[in-house]
Amino acid sequence: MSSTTLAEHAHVDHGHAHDDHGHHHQPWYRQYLFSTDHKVIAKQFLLSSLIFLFVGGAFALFIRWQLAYPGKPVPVIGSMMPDTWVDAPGSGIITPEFYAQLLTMHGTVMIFFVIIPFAVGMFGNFCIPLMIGTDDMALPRLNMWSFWLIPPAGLIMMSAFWVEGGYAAAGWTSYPPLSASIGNPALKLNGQALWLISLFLVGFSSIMGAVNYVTTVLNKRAKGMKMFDMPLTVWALFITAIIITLGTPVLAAALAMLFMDNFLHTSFFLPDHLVTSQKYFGGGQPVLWQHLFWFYSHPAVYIMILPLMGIVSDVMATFSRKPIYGYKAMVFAIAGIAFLGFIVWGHHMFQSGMNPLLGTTFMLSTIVIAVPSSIKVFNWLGTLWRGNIKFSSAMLNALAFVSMFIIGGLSGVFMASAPVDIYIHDTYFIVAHIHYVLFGGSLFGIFAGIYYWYPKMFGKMLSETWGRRHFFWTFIFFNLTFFPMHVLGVGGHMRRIYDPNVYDFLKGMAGLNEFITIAAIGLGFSQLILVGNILWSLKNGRKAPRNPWRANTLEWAAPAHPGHGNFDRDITVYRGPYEYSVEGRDLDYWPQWEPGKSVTVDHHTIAVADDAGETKVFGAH
Amino acid sequence: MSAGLSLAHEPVSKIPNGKLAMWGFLGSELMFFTGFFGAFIVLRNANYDVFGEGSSHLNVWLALVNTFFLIGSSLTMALCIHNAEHGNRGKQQLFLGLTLLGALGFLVIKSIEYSDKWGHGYFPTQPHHTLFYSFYFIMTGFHALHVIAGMIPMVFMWLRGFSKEGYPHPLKLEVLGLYWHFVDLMWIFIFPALYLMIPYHGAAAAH
Amino acid sequence: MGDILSVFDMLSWFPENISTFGQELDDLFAIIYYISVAIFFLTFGILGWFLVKYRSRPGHKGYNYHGNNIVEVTWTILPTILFAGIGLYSDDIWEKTKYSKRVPKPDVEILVLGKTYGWTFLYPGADGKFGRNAYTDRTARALMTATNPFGKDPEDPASADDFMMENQFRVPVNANVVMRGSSQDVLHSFFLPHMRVKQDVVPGTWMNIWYNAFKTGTYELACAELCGGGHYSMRAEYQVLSKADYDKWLDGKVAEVAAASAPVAEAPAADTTAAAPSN
Ligand code: HEA
Ligand code: HEA
Ligand code: CUA
Ligand SMILES: [Cu+2]
Repeated sequence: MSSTTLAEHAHVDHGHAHDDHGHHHQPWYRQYLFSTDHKVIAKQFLLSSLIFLFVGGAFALFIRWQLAYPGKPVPVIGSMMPDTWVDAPGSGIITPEFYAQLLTMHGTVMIFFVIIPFAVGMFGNFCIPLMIGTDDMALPRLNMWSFWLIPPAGLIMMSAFWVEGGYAAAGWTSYPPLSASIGNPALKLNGQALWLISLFLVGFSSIMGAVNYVTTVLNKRAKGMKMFDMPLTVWALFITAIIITLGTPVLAAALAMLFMDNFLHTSFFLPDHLVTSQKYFGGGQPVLWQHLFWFYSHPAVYIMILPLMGIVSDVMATFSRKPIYGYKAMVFAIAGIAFLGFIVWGHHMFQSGMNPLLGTTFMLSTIVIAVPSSIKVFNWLGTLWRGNIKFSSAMLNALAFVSMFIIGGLSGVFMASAPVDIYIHDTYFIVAHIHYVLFGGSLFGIFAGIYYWYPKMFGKMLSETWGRRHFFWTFIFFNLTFFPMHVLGVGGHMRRIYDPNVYDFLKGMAGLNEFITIAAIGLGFSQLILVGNILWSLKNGRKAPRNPWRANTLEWAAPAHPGHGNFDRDITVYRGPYEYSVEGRDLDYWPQWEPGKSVTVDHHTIAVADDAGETKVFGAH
Repeated sequence: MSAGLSLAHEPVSKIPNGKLAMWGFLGSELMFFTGFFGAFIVLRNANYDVFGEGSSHLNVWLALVNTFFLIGSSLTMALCIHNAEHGNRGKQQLFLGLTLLGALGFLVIKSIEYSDKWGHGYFPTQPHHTLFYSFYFIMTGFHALHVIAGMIPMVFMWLRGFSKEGYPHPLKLEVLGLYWHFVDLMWIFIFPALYLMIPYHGAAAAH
Repeated sequence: MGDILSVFDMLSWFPENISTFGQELDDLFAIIYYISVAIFFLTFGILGWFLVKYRSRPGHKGYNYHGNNIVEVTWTILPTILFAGIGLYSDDIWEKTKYSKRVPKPDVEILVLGKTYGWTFLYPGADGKFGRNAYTDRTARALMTATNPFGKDPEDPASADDFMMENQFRVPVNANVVMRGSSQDVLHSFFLPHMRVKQDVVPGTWMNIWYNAFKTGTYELACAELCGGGHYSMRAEYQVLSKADYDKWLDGKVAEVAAASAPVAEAPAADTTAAAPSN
């Protein structure tokens, strides 16, 4: 298993801070597989999410092929595709049923097996203990389990390949009655049932992780670290963990009910007198599922973006050599988004048949939630103002995050207006929005985080040249792929359709669809640069210094490649995380762990001469 | 923890890690059951008759006995923790044993109820199943799963308690106690919702 | 080149609008669009300017500044006002198009039912009134079957002249058309792109859908909610006819139905030719 290759580097620096931990002779499977070290678990999340990124991406490329060239065989691998995927054995032409499975699995994999594990699983695990200056999570064993539910969940979902009817095919939102598989006999496992079981496990994993994060942040901060001394990454992950704790269980309840409907033919979500071949008891309400689902899944879109907002803030402060503009405003904005996130779910349901009066309330609350997002954008711009900006790969990706989030957020405002949403709901305008916030936002944020923390993670520097190339190609192809989707949406192009050419009013868009597909292929293959860079630098990268970016936060006080126990020195926190370019100091940064006094005048920090410790900066080279 | 280093210090919030995490987890559990209750309220109001009819076939007396079992076991759990903190090993074992007994009694009665329902064909996929019973089984079912999940560590702690050094972690007992009170509390909501609060004025069925 | 540029002229891509309130929706879209374009250029302009001006150069230094509360409050309040404006203005149009008490008095009333994969329509026929069916009487839902999708009660004389159309329908121009939509199996969404109308149809309930077309012609109806493999093919056509043409067509239909139902009373579903698909 290749997680070993990634994980074995965890031990290079071994032997610093843990002479009494007594795990020197642990068997390999305790060190690499069932490790309770948060850094190893973070690497496991990295590996599994990268694999799933390619799985989900491959699904997307199939989708794109079909939309650009409907009815043409998939090139290269078409003839190898299983008979259940194609309209005639060996023909390579995707069936409509398989197309529905593709888009369902694409959305599900990307959201539940890529973005959430990356954003929450990987960064949560790696960053929280290091950035609050402690040795590990509060409950390491629980932490290990929160990872080890992911592989079985993935396998269960993918095992639908062998089930009659194939993968789940009701979209990642799985609206019943379709997702209740109303034609199928009871007690027969189908792809949808496996989907439900799998997500239940993923949800459980999320909750276990989240409870752990909350406890760790509240209980294990280093000496002297107040809540408002925490970096925004930690704040964001902390608040995200609270959203997960309160939101995910509601999804779990809904999944359980839908599973009963699907597998045992109950009717929580099925009304009276469906015209089907199977018997149902009726009395349920299909729209009830949508309420429960979006009660979780709207907050979930913030689960997918808040951690990255934190990370991007840290990266931007470091590479602008400036404090975050309005640190507290940023914290309150995150908290505000989290809170408001729980009362806007109905904006996904404007056309669902929900009472239009509720539409009004949900429209207004949705519009309010754009305000804290605006605050964040303006504060990021403020952070750049009068900075000393260095365009490292991490910074480039962070800037892409900010700019692409603006575009994605602005398209969100269109949809937030309920009457505008009448026309663009369930069109490619939504698909464009999804990808601008989830790829342009979340995934670029994830890239920024990977480029930023790779040195601490693996003890090696990533190649900057290849990092920039990856960024450059991804950014260009990303916009070429997804910007035109807004146009498709305005033209009325429905999402989740197998063949747009059926419709006369969509005939003029074939060219655009083809263009998007070509760009998407480019986008997909650009990701190989990232993987290549990660693997190549593991072996050949320059050895990382302790604090390569000259940053302030506590993880850079740890050894270049921390072992079990993280730190080789005691940590006391003397100041906030963003004291860059402080007047009265030679260096343009002032780590949190370095003793020294300061005064604050007019929103400026000024260092006050202090004999102790001024020169003991770790990692400066 | 480490020799020269004091990174792993006292919990900042003064609440031990395990306990804090359990509070967080219980918040999560609360939302889990809230999902069911939310759906229950909506669908009950839309299908008042079906729910009333279904509820009229439930055995309130058995459920009432069960309520006493659970409340009792919650009480003995508290007594067990109290004694564990004061080092009364004998009483700790006694009350933990009683708690287990209460839990077991609850499950026995629950299974009597379930087998009765099976006999009358109220299970999903059986002919007399209705929307009410969907709720009945999913809510009491998940609740029973929680009871079982609590009994597993309880049995372990109890058996360890008979060893020479006894069960040496009063804190873990306390965390389990938190969970156990929650399971009790959930039943206090489920019991009236399913058994009591749905008057039915139609003709009571023969069985 | 012109093709590429037209991507940025987003408003030009709307299909032609033929409904009375459609123009208001398009205008609202345009307003938000222009606001967004302005914000886009503003934020990207500032971003680009800062990136160039404050790029790292030898001798250049960062600036330790933690932010300013007056500025924070300003850029909280300004967008709030802007957003509140958008919200209140939107709500007017929303109420007008969707609130059930604002549905206009129907000139024509039609029932529409989605099924995997197709659309069925029910017209009230000669008497202009629906007989007992799943819409007019909840209890008649029990009569819904694949061959009698609307649950028409054959006992009710008022039902006899109600006639069905498969995958096409016709409406008069300049008239308030009110449709009540439902589904017989899974969710579908009734989408008339040229009318700017979209409404999910949910089994078990009836949705209000209304519009008033000002232009005649043949247009398309699509399903906009994933409903299975055949979702993409759930297409239908409809015609907006002049009043005269519509009446003529309706009279023809009425006569046809009367002729068909004359011999025996087994006719209700005779109009349906396509076999019901297996579910
Ligand atoms: C990371 C994920 C993410 C994020 C952050 C968001 C953010 C937002 N989303 Fe999005 N959304 C999704 C992921 C996300 N969304 C997904 C996956 C779906 C589809 C689900 C499906 O059906 O499959 C969806 C669907 C969706 C819908 C349903 C559409 C439909 O199906 O018809 C709506 C409707 O209101 C909406 C609105 C918003 C709004 C208002 C925001 C706001 O938070 C955005 C706020 C940001 C800004 C406004 C931009 C920055 C601000 C400025 C530059 C300041 C100046 C601006 C002004 C003064 C205007 N989203
Ligand atoms: C974070 C989330 C995320 C990400 C990163 C992506 C990435 C991509 N998405 Fe996805 N998408 C969603 C989340 C995401 N998507 C969601 C939630 C939906 C809604 C689903 C629903 O409706 O239920 C959706 C729906 C969706 C649709 C609409 C389908 C439909 O409605 O019919 C389309 C169509 O173009 C699309 C395209 C793409 C493309 C081209 C990419 C590209 O960025 C992908 C780039 C590719 C890679 C990164 C991998 C590269 C792989 C290789 C190089 C290997 C090649 C090997 C082989 C081909 C064997 N997506
Ligand atoms: Cu019907 Cu899609
Ligand atoms: Cu949302």
